[in-house]
Amino acid sequence: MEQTPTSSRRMLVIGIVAVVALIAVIAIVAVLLFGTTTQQETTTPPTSAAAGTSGSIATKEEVKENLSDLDITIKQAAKDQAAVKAAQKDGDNQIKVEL
Amino acid sequence: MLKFINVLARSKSLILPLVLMFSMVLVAYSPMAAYTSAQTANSNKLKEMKEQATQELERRIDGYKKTLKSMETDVKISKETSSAKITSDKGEVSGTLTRLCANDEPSGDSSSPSPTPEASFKLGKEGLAGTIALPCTLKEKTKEFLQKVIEGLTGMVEKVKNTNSLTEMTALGQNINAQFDLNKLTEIQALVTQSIETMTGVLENMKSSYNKLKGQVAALKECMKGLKSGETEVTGNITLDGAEVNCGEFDLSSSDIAEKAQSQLSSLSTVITTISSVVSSSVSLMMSLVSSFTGMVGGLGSLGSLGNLGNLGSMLGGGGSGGMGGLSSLLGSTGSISGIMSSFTAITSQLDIANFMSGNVSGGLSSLGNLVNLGGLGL
Repeated sequence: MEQTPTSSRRMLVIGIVAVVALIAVIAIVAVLLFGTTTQQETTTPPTSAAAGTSGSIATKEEVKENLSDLDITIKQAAKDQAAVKAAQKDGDNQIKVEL
Repeated sequence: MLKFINVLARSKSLILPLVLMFSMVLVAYSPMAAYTSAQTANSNKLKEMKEQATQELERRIDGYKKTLKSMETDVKISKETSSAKITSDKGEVSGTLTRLCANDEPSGDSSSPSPTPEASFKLGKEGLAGTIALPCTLKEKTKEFLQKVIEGLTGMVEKVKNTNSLTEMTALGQNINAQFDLNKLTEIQALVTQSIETMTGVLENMKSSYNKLKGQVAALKECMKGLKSGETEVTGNITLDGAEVNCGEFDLSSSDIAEKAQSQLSSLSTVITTISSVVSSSVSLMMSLVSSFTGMVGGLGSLGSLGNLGNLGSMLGGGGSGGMGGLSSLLGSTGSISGIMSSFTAITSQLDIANFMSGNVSGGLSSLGNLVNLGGLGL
């Protein structure tokens, strides 16, 4: 059967559109399956802590640093508590204006 | 003049008028003397009140400024070591640090529910999980309240300095006395916030240390499996969950080290979880209290404008610690000053317990670290 130039052109356009659509579908599926997970920057630390840095077993130095930081924070906590208690007793230092 | 007086003196009929005149002068003199005396007393009283007021205002301002300064210390997490560090302007720790706080901010409206922090740490396969943290905006809010108080009191110092009226000074004095409990509450709220924040840092470090040691204990157990009979060293590295382990770092000298270490881990996890529960409940209570406080002061206007309330004393029922009932009924608020203050005292007691237990945990973790690591940690 003889094809007219118009119908040939139409077939060509349909073919190109179909190929483009197929590529687009494949790209979307690829992104959904293998796309990168964006890490949201929050101020809350991760809820589960790894055993060490980068998933490896912690070294002696890393443990030592952590414990040293723990000691510093405990001492700071004690200072903060002392400040609260001093403020609670501030009534003893009040200078009342005698009316 | 003398001639005139002589003439008068000689005239006996003029003695009575002279006496009358003298009496009138005396009668006029008494009230004048009393008035002058009263003026002097008022002036002294005014001076005394101004001195007392100025001293008290400056004492408060100085104390609250020191408190604000202490709140510049933050708790931050080091991303490199997952360790919580205390930072301040002077002692900023280098490296990638992120502030330890929760993103949710309290609504400030006591009728709407506040975000609930985690109840406690959870123990899982990889160790302790969960984060106990104050909402990020809560500390800023408590600092802002205190800053307003300082501004208000600073304004009052000028007012006291410029007043020359005893009536005006009396009103100012009443206001200063009346404000004391509320000022003190604002300061304590800020200090307790700081205290809780630091404790969340303590918890974070305990969790991190525990999890690292847990990993080491698992590695030690794996290394023990590779020990040949009679040996105390494993040559080369082994792999555990995809991570390479240098067995030479661990003390493999005794077969019961792993058992002892596991037992210590078990005890420590229980105590750390308990501490996390205590701190978490403090965080929840703190959020609720700040919300109540916000509602309470909202009814008074700005904390920085309390000095303009001439009737603050009567609003608080006469000022001082006896006035909370008046404020509560005025605002219809359930959070009276004394009620909120009692709650802060309760939080402080809870944190005392948490702090005490933390000291023991720190010792336990160090002991465990020394047990597992060859040569100890040197702490």
